[in-house]
Amino acid sequence: MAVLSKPLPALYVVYVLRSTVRHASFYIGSTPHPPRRLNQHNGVAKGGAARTSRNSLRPWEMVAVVSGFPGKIAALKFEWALANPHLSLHIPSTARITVATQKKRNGHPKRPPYSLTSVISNLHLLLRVPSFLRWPLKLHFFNRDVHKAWLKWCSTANEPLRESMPIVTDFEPNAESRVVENLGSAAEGEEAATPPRPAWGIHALPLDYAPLREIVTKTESIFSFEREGSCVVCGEHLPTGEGVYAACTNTGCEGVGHVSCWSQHLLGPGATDEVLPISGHCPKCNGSLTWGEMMTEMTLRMHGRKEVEKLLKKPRKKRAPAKAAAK
Amino acid sequence: MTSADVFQSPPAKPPAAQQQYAMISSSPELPSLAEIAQRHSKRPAPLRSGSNAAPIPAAALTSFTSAKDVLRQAPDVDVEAERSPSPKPKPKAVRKRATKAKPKPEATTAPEPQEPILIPSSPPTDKPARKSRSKKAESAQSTISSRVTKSTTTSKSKSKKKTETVSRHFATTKEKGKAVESIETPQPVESDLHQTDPPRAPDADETEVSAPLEVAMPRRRGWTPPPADGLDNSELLSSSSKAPVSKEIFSNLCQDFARPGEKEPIAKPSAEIAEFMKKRKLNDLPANEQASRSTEASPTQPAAAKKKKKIRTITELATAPYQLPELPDVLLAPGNAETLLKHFDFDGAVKAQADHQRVVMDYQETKSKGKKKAPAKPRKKKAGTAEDPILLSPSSAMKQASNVDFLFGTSSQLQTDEPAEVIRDLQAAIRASNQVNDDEDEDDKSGLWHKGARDVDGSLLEFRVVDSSDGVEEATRGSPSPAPEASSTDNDFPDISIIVLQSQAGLSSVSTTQNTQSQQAVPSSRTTLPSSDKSAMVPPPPPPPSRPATAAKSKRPDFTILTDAQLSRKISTYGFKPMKRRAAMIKLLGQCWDEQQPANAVPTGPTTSNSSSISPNAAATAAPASAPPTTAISPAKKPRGRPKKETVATASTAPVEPASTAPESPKRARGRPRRDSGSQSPAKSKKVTTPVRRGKAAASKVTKIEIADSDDEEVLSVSGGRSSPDPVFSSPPPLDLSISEDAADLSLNLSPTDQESSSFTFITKAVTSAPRSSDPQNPSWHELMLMYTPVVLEDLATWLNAGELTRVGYDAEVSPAQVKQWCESKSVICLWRANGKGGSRKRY
Repeated sequence: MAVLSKPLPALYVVYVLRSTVRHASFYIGSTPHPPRRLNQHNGVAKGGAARTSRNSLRPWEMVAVVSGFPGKIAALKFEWALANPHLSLHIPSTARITVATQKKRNGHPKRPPYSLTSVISNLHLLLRVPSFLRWPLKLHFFNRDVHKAWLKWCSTANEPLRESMPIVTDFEPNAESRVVENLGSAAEGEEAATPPRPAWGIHALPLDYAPLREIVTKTESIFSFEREGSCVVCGEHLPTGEGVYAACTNTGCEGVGHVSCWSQHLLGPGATDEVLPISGHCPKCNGSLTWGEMMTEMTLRMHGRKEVEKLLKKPRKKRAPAKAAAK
Repeated sequence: MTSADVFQSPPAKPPAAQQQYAMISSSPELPSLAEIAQRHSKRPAPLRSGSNAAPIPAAALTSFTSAKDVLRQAPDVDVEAERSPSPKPKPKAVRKRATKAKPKPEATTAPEPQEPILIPSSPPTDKPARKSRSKKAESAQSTISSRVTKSTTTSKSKSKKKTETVSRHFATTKEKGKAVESIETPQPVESDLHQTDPPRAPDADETEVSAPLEVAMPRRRGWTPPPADGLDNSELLSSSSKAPVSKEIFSNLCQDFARPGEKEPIAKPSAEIAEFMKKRKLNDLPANEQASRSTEASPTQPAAAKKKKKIRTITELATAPYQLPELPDVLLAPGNAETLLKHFDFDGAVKAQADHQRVVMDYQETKSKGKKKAPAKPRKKKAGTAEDPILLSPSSAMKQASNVDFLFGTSSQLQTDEPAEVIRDLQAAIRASNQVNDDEDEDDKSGLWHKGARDVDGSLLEFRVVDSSDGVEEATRGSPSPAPEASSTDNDFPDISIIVLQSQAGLSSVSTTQNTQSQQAVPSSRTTLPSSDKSAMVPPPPPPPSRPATAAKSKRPDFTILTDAQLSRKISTYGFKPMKRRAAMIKLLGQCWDEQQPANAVPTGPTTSNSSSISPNAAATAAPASAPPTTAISPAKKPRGRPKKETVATASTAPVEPASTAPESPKRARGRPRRDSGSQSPAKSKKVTTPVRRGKAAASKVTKIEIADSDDEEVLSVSGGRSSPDPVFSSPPPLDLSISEDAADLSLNLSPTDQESSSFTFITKAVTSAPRSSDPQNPSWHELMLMYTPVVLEDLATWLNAGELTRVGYDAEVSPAQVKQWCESKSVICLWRANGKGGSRKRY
């Protein structure tokens, strides 16, 4: 399959929309640009879903967001599964929570109406099913009530999420309690704190590759100057441009290796029947790694020349004023 | 009323008046007005004579037979519906009654001078009709009364006394009917009265002005529909001129068109012969005629023959040969006899004799009727002799046919030394073992449809074929049969009677004949397996069949609770294709359940020749294996019956596991509030479901195992029989089922999952062990997956099947669907090249 047109997106989310007026109204969608999409739902911008067009339910808010989808297809799969938990084949029948009790006019099973609990529980469930388990996902909560419901559900759910699943809360600033519960959230929009009206929630989500700038800069220098060296895992020499090489994302570490070698290393010797690693530690710097980040960087480097250039241009501009200021 | 008087005028009237009528009438065909008037006038006359008050209402009815009558009737009905509950006249009644109560007669007489037309109509309806007509009269009267009161109240300028008297009269009438309720405001009531009045008002007006308008009346009669009660009127019209002619025509019509030659013989025989011919068709006719010519009225019970002829059913057809001697009786049917007599009789002497004889015969016949009933009953009890066999209803015949045991064999086989008793006992034992199935079959509503179903072999009926070396007939002769009938009737139906009796007699003898059974087993096993283990033949005697059956019934889960998906899944576990209709699925599941239940229950039961189909090794394990399967299967099944999401715990569902049942009930209780608030309940419900699913998985495995074991002949035949929805199988061996299922359980655990997992591991191996690509623009599959690139399933499957799997040592091919399963189990993002609409994906 030779169609490798795009790098992994900087952001693709599946969101849970809730009416601020009527809290029982939910909507589930996916977008690479949550603020824009929210504006569409709220009627500020063109193109909202018909389901959210009722004025009596507006404005809507994104109470929960799952980010980190490695592409539109993945996000759409997850979105559909979350929106149709009574049908999705990703949910094994033994674990299905939502069961259709009614039928639509065309004979298909009718989806039971959403509720906060049902959405939360199915979200919890879908993050555990094998189809999505190893995806580089990240869970955000932007509403206290929803997060409370989530915690409550987590305490009662019979199976916990995988430990490496990052869960981030970002509530409204007046009651700022930014809790980073798991690793991997460090790269999250910290830089958004500076604006006069501090961005929070979906507005703090990174819409571009900016968080990766540092890494991209580093790997760019490595690969452009052909300093790949040998694979950090297998030790083979890495001839430039003759393979798919991934690099450590930790600052200062220039460990590079075959993608397959990386995956084997990160999976560990025990998990021989798994394919996708989730996270691990760099054999060179021993820093923590997430496979999603590595792949984003790698695909960006391989397929996103334009994006890389754009990304690397900005710092120059920034540097330029900085330099000017320094001068 | 007044109009009636006018019509009453005698036929001899002044010609001028007649002319007047003639000119006015618009429909000349109708009888003249005078005639009508005469007819009408006749009716009121007797009424008038009855009582002094009667004539007026009666005249009113007859005089307005036309549209006005209809008009009058319609509002009456409406008024009745409206008024009966309404207390409209009452307020006045209350009001006036408070003043005083005067004797009734005064009330009737008082209004007369004032309103000569209205009042006479009301009192007569009051008095005589009230008791007889009850409600209607009352309501009608109430309407009238209301009208009257209104008129009186409106004309208040007149003396107050009169109004009072009128109202008092009504007050008394009201008092009788209902309890009086006081209404404060009379005004709204009056307005109500105005509303209801209009239909009545024209009536009053017309009656008042009837004298000048009379002339127009007859005109209307022509075009208005006849009143409902105007039957006599129409009769009058039709009978006036044309009816007699038409009658003649109709009576002569047949005569005119019939062939004169044929008519006589047909017309002559009495109604009875005609009836008889109707029923028996024409081929009986010649015989009758012949008989009539040859025989001279031989007296034999004619009425009895008549009665027998009446039943023309299958039964009678079957017994027709026995009725031949009675045929001449037909000739003696009263009408028939007469014609015959006429034919031979000249002077009437013979006829007199015959009459006498007939009288005597009739007498005898009536006497014999009582007698005949008595013999008829014992005949029925006899349950059929050769002379008088009992014809069974289709269903009972079916039942009995299924009870018949046939022994097939060559003559040398039939000649062997086995006594008939042994065979019969054997069959009884077989039947006993199958009784459970039969009982449940009886319960099944499907009935004959069900029986019509073919079994695996394609044979329609289930005859128990016991391949033994003895013929039943021979055996019956040689053996002392326990039933008296068996020995007495050795003719046409020996097998049925004997065997049925034997089966009913009880199965107690089975245990005593075990030794012979084991001897029997060798020949009997010829059809199925030559090497049947005799040890398997000696299990404990059969338990009472009713016990397991009832137990099985009681445990049957309620399939209606399940969702469609669950139902279809369950059906698939039984090895059936998915069905669309929910009812069909439920029914099928019920059948499967019914069928399996006895199979589970029987293991303690008899293993007779059925067990001969068990392979030797299976038979050896039969006894120990029989007990565990029942326990193992029933829990597997019960969770299936449990509603997954239903919050209501059904009592029918038996405990899955002792441990899991305890936490269940609280979970269920909490399961309901889950939606509104509590997040706990879903978790618990989820926990609950898992054991249930486990049961289902086990069940599905069971069927799969059966399929896997299909190369084993015995198991195949058994499982095939079991999996079919038809519980009525010629010889469902209960033990075999349990055994096969047991064996299946073992193999099932391994085969599907094992195969799946092995293929998955091989796919993983093939993917990960493939050489990494040297071209970053053309990465390997593994690298693509690592990059979260969506994998096209068809391509990956093709690649895997193109040598990669064999490279890693897997010889089979994988389908894209399997690859999809693998991808999803590994969180690999995958998609189909072909989308659901038949197109193919171009962008990724």
